[in-house]
Amino acid sequence: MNLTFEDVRYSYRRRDRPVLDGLRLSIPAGRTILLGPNGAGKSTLLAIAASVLPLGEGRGRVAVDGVTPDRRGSRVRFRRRVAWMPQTVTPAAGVTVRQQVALHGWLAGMPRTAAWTEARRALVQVGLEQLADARSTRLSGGQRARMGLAQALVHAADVLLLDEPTAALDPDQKEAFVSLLARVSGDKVVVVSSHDVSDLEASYDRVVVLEEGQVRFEGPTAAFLRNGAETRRPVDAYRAVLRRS
Amino acid sequence: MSGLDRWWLWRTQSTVVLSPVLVVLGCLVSLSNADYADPYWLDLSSKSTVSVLFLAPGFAALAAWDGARWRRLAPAAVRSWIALLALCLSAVALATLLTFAITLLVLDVQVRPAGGAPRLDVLALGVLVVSAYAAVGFVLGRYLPRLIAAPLAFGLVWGWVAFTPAVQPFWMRNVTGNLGTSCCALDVELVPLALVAPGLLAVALLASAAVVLAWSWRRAAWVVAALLVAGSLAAAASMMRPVGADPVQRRTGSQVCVTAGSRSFCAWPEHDGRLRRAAPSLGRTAQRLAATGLDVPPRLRESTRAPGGWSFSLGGGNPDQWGKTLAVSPLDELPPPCTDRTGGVWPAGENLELAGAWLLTAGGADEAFAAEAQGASLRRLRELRALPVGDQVHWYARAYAAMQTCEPVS
Amino acid sequence: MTGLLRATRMPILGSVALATGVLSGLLRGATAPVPSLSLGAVSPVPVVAVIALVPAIAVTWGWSGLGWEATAAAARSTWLLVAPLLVTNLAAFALGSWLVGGSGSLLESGRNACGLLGLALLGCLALGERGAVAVPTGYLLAAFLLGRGSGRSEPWWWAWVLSDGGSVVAGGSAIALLLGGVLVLPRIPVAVLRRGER
Repeated sequence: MNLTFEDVRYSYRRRDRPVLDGLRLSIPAGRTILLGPNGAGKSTLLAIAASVLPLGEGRGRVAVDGVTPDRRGSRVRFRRRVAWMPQTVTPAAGVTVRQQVALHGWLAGMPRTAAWTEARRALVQVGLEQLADARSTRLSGGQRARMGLAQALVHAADVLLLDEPTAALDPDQKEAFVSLLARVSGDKVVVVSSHDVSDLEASYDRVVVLEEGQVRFEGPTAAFLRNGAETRRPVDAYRAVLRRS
Repeated sequence: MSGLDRWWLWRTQSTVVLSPVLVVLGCLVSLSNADYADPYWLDLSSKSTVSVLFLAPGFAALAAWDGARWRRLAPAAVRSWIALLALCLSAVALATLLTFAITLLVLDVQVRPAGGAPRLDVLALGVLVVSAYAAVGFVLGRYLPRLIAAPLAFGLVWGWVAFTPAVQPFWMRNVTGNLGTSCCALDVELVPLALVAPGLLAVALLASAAVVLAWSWRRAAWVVAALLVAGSLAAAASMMRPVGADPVQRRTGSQVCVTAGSRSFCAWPEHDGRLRRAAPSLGRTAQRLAATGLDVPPRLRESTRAPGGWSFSLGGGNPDQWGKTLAVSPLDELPPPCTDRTGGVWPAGENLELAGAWLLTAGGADEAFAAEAQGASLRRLRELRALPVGDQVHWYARAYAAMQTCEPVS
Repeated sequence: MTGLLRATRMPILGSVALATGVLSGLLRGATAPVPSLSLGAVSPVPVVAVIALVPAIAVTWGWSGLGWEATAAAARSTWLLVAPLLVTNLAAFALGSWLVGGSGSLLESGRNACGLLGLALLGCLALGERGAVAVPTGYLLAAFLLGRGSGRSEPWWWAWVLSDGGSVVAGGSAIALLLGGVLVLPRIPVAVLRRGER
């Protein structure tokens, strides 16, 4: 299974420079971390991969095993295979945590009953089952992030796109997140955008570094860490990649 | 999955969660008009839809709230916006139908209409209209912030449904789908296009909402939606322009008749029971009026003018009062239309109360009661009644003829 | 200051308030027949009452653009932060109404806008953002349905929105509500955030 980007160009209105400029990337199954400085285009790339930001005519192509979100029919097939956790998880007023997760499952095309059942499973996976019947607006920042993760996990997609999922988590939850990622990844494509590079080798199979809308590095984690010379510290490797470009 | 869990998807919708409030409110609003209801299914059906006035703006606001929430929840959804609209409208339609059903049930118990069945076409129009305005609210919520969309939907729909009956041209009020305030006494029925015109506009609103939601990124979709609404509004307006303030016409069909004394009295089938109870009183009144020298025809109809303006009404009250409606019926259609041209000036109208009181006494009522009931001077009534009967009838005939004009009394 | 103006959408909201004020002036005296539960019959309600919802809700929406977190954490006084938005909206609405409807319209429209804005702010404090819409709208519905009693020529005191512009009691009630809303202004951002809304 592969998530591919072919010659992707993307600009926001009223901005002079494109955020992504002719980006080519192929991400295989496994856990991939997306690194890059602020404004490098990480969130934009994930939103394009989730088909939230549509690519216009002549602005490249995104595909999962050849299925693209360009047309209505294939967009439905594409979206059934992709799950996206945005940087900001918005609680919907007036619904419980389980209802909100189930709504995401239903919106992703699951039957109503299956969405309800799977929402429970997803909440257990992220350790939120105790709060299943609480109002989603009552959750703390970290709990919201876990609810967002449950929203992404509920419909068992082939591609998981997680935009800074660990930013609001405490150290215990971060550890739990890493082990959860290891459990759910299997033959899925999991792409995590993050600034947290600690314990990189144990947590991720591949690394992609973005800068100014271009891929600066793409390869296995071990190869990435070699950029850090003898220290093999992720931060040194990251700085070296950016310096080299 | 059991119990409430089965309905989890509906329980996340504002249109469902808050629908009990609107259903109760709608029932109270409709039933507040129950005193004026006739035992006539068309009347009861339209009265039970008076709540459209509040259901339409209320559900439009809730649908706007839900639409705005879906926009935040579903940026990459597999479900289409049409599916989300359908989910919203299914709740709205069910709640509206429930409101109508409860109201109709209570009205049925209160008024006890004889025979027939509720007018499903009138109820269906009510459901269609509320759903269409909810769809408009949903579209507003899809594109505007919820804090703006919800009150805007409420204000726009309320203004359109509630304010139009107060303004001219008349066709506007007859295309909004708010039938309950203008329909339908026992002696009238809806004009054939009364349901078609608002129905057409409602369908166009639903179709426009669907077009905009399905192809929102295409400018042509907005043009098509605007053309659909404008075209249907023009068509509905042309249908309703020849109709007056209320979209009704005189009722046709056969009446049931009973004989009392030397006359027969005919009423609409819904008043069959009342007619049988009223017949002795009507017969006595007619006989006394004729004995006074008035020309009362041998066949009298409920709410349908006979020569000389004679008719009777069984609309409310008791059998005694029904007889009195026959006595004063010649004065029912006064003042004459010419007062429109004279700015309300109607000199002969000064005899209206006295003529009414005299007719009541001629029909057998007590003088004091008749004067008070008609607001006439008891002294003048007694003076009139002191004249020979022939002179009294002559006075009435002259007063009645004068009251048909706007000329000064000679 | 320019940033504050933009964040609170003041130019657009001020223009909308002015336009709705003009509409309010044009529709002064216009009534809509609405069934009254307390009378058991249809009674006329003033259309301008509903139009006055616009500036009331616009203030809350404009404030949400500034951000509840930002206001809650601000070192500056909440009153001073919100005052330009509040005054601009009310003044623009009143000005529009006065331009086409004269002083009579100004009294009625201004009173309605003040009272409903007070209710929107109090609703926001009690129920979060949704209260800013639900409370004034719910009040209008209640006034329309129950605001008149049989045998009374004037509406009940609490249904001030149905009264003539010259009614002192109605004007006083509306001003009291606005004062109440303004008094609780500093507590609103925290109340909204405590409800989990962002």
